[in-house]
Amino acid sequence: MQRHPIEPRHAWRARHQELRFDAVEDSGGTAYWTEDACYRFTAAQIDVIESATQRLHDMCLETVERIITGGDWYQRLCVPEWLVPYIETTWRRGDPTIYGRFDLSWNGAGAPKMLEYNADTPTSLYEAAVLQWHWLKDRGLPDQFNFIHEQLIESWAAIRARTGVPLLHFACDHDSAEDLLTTEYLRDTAAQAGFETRPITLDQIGFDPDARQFVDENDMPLAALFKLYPWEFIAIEPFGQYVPEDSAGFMEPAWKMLLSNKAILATLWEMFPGHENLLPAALAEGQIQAPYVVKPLYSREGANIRIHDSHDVHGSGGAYGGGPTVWQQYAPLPVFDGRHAVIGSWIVGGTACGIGIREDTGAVTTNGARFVPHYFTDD
Amino acid sequence: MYKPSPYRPKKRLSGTVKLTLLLVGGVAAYIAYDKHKNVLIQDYSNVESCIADNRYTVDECTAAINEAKAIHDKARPQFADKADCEKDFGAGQCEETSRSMFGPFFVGYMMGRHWGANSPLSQPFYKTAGGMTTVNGATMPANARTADRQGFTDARNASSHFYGTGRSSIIRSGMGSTGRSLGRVG
Repeated sequence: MQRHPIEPRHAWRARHQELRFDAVEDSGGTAYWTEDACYRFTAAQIDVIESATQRLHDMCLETVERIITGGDWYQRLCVPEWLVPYIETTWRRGDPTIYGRFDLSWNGAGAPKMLEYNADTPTSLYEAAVLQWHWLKDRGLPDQFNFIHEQLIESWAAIRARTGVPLLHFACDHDSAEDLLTTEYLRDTAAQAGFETRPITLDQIGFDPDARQFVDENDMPLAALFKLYPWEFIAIEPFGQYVPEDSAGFMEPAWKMLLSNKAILATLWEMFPGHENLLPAALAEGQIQAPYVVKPLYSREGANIRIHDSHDVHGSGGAYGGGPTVWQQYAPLPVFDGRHAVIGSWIVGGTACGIGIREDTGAVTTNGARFVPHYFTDD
Repeated sequence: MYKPSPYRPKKRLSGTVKLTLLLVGGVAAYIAYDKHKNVLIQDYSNVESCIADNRYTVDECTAAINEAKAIHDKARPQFADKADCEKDFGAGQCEETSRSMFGPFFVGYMMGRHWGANSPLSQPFYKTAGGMTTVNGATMPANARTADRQGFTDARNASSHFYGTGRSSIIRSGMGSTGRSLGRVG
């Protein structure tokens, strides 16, 4: 794993305009996509990332099974009691999942360490699946760990064949360019797999109290809803109460709530103590030796993360403070040319299928991180 | 439920990355879709009408009616008094049950696919003066059922639920507020 400078494509901005990425690029204020440098891996390193991701995914599913059969861990996960029977239904029934992203700390040697799992509402999918694919092709570089796009279409097709549900609604906040692009990209791949699809904003979703069904803005029933919206938000909003009536399928499914919560870090460590891809983690102070990181159970975009090393405490502020936290051994991100790089490793339809790298100037990867493309070579 | 990931041959890069909706017209380009495909639940009076409707296989139709009849035998509405039963389900529409009470005849079954289910789900329905009802007492208002009749004239022997009636009782804006106050979710 190396970072090296590379000549940007002459017309990359026009290229991104064609690919409808310009709105996202402009919304952040600072450059988000960066191609004056890139990351280079060896094929053997890609093997390591792929198998680590696949193992992490398997461990996560095994942990969900343990949580549900044991029944005694819901409290530590802060899952509302009234949602538990519904979560269990979606798991036992095998409600389908389309995607998730593991964030890994790795410098190319030893074992990648899982920092967290974005199991419910991961973004930066389009950058990884589409933008960096075009970058690779335009540059004529040899290879990339990225069959995310084809894996998405294949997974949607499998879901369609299994469920027989003809129409999917795709909901997100249309005012967020990034959320909208991620959701529309997923909708695009679902349509290519044969689904009828409709976009909808979150606040257009209605509930018909007579038919006991979620409906769209035309009062049409929602058979199944992809939502780029966290389960822990749904759980505290007025419509959360209707979810257990089970009139519509949700993606990601409710059982993902057990994984998107950072208490899963401590739970995984308890299930698989010493596993090379996991970091020691606990739900109480004093069990993890410094340096460690303290994270709120529900936190996104790197908000409210505190790093405690031997002589200092530093970290990020944000809107997710307060509430219970998890303590995780600190695995500093590798620094290349002064930038901290995190590997986002994608699982689609249960298969590890590609990575995207984001860099931040600080030790915590936040909203302000930049996406940098990668490639790999045979040696 | 949990199964380890199956072995897959090595593949590393998408062969093509083609976009359809996104590049055609962006978000505003709602694809036109056929209303009929959005029908979620169908009602059938017998297995033949289910088969003729061509939405389900013969096996699915047969399994569904058997399931509906089993539910009917166990859980149909029951009344001590025949008159009470007929008040809800109509004159001549009730019979004596195995428990020496009175319940409505089996008149048909409703069938639909559910997101998480591997096979279609099925249950009996009963006609009432106001529309129809199920064993759990869920009612389908008559106005909801008739509003879109023109939408499924080709559905032969099947009629289909369709709730698109613009009723004012629908509750809106129950979702999204937490995200709006916190910003991005990814």
